[in-house]
Amino acid sequence: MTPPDSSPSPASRRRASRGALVWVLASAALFVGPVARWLDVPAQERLLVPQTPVDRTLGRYAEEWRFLARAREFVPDGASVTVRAESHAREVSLYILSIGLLPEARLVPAAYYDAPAEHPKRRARFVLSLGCHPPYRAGLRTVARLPEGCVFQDSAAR
Amino acid sequence: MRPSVLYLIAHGSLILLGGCAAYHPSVRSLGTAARISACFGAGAVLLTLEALLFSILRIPWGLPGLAFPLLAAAAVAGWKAAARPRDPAAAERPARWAAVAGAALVTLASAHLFASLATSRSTSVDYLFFWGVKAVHFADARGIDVELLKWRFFGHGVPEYPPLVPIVQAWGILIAGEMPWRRAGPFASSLWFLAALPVVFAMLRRRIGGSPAAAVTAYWAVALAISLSVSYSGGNAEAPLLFYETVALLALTTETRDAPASDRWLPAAALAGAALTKVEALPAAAFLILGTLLRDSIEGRSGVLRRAARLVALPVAAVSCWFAFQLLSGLPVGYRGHGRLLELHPENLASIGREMFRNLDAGTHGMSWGVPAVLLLLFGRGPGRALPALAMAAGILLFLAFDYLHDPTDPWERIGWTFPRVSQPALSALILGAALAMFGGPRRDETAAAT
Repeated sequence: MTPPDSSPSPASRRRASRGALVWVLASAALFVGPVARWLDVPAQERLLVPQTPVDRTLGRYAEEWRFLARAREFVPDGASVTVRAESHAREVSLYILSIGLLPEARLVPAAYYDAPAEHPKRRARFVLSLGCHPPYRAGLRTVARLPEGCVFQDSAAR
Repeated sequence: MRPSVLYLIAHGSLILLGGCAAYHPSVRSLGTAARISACFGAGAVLLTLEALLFSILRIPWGLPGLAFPLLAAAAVAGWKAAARPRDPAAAERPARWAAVAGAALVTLASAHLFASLATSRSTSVDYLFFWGVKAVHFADARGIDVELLKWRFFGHGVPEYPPLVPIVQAWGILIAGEMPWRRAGPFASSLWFLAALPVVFAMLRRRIGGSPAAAVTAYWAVALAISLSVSYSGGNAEAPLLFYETVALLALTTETRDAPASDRWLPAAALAGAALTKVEALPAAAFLILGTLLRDSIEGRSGVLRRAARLVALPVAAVSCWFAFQLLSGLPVGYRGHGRLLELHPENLASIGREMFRNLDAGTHGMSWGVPAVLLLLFGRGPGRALPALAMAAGILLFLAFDYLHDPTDPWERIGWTFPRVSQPALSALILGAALAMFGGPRRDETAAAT
């Protein structure tokens, strides 16, 4: 059953108003941290359009993202692709990012967490190399040289 | 039109797809904005279930195919509802000062979140690693891409995770033609935050009155906008989960003792949405239902178990649809846990407690948690009425601690990565629970109706 109803008394209205004021003041106080963080950013950079989704969260991924976003222009749909970098960890993250950025490609991971993953018999036709490290195998020709890395092509591979 | 704009329009179109929700009695009594929000949430749930069904039946996803049945359902619901008299709206308006201050704070909070998301300050790495990735492949495959989920080099993408977020994002891609990774993708998370606001205000207003509702809504908005921003929740499933769990919680904590059983439809549907969004929704839902059961028993309400069963049925049915899809597609059925259930590492307990406490920062040096906790302790007149909310808040934190106890090594790093975002529904529950305990009395609409 519903409890007996009655209009709020003036005293309870005043109490509710005072309580509401406490919540409003507390809400305003919460802004101290964010305001300080925004003020830390130089004014001209505050609303700068990002180049990647992670420009201001994880710079390492931002560089990898920029590279893949540029490199995909040189990769035809359906081509097999692998990604290389100077370290195992970067090869893993490059590969993971490439799944979303190159959905039409047939990805051949060079590394996947615990073990090197590119199957020796299944060579990728395109090698996206972050940092333009020299080709790690013979028969690769340079398709594009980008600010973050190179796109190589292995004409012998499918 | 630019893909980013189309992607956001696609998210907006969920309102139309879930239009049938606007006419349900438990939603009709809310204000227009809250009804639109309910449609938005319902649209995502219905679209997910329909897309799952299409994938099970091997029907390729397409715009007309997915949209038409849901639009037709909305039209039929509207046509049937037109014959019924309009439900009385809850009426107490906030005082002018509270309305102005509340609106200003909500605007500032939203602007902060928009700017953070649009300038890539709050993007989730998981969005790039699997949420958005699944969406791109689902849209490409015109269905749930089973090959991707089965691929041994996609293990990081937690293939068993429930499908609502990738399906909604894939819907956006189907309309936009591509994934607007940079800005609209993360920015779309703010739509879930915005959708929650009218529901929070409308439901609180029925229970605690106009001015307190405006003030608490403002606090909720500021605390959660800052938290979503600092916990890198752009583009992942945190904002939808927060939306569904908050709606379910409010619907249950603001219902009257003699509410018709049909009023349980809204929280049950919201819990179904949560269950289709993230695995963590299941323990949160269990604690919320348990808290509701306890409150109903303490207050001597009738049909306690029967009414609780209604809450369980829809989320269980929703998750069963996903598991059925897994089964029929040859995927492993169910969710993977972090190790064996009772294989715990209590030697990490002190570190877990310390790190969890440290990560209650929420971008406000812990104030977002501290204020409602202090107000609850000092001014909480009736914790019983807030029991579902407090059970959910405490339950989520306990569940997370239990989860971290499974790590064989000190999980301080994982806590730092995950806790600020996965604790957000608990923060929401604490804020709303404290407000209900502080201000809650007889429902204001009942009061108005009786006088």
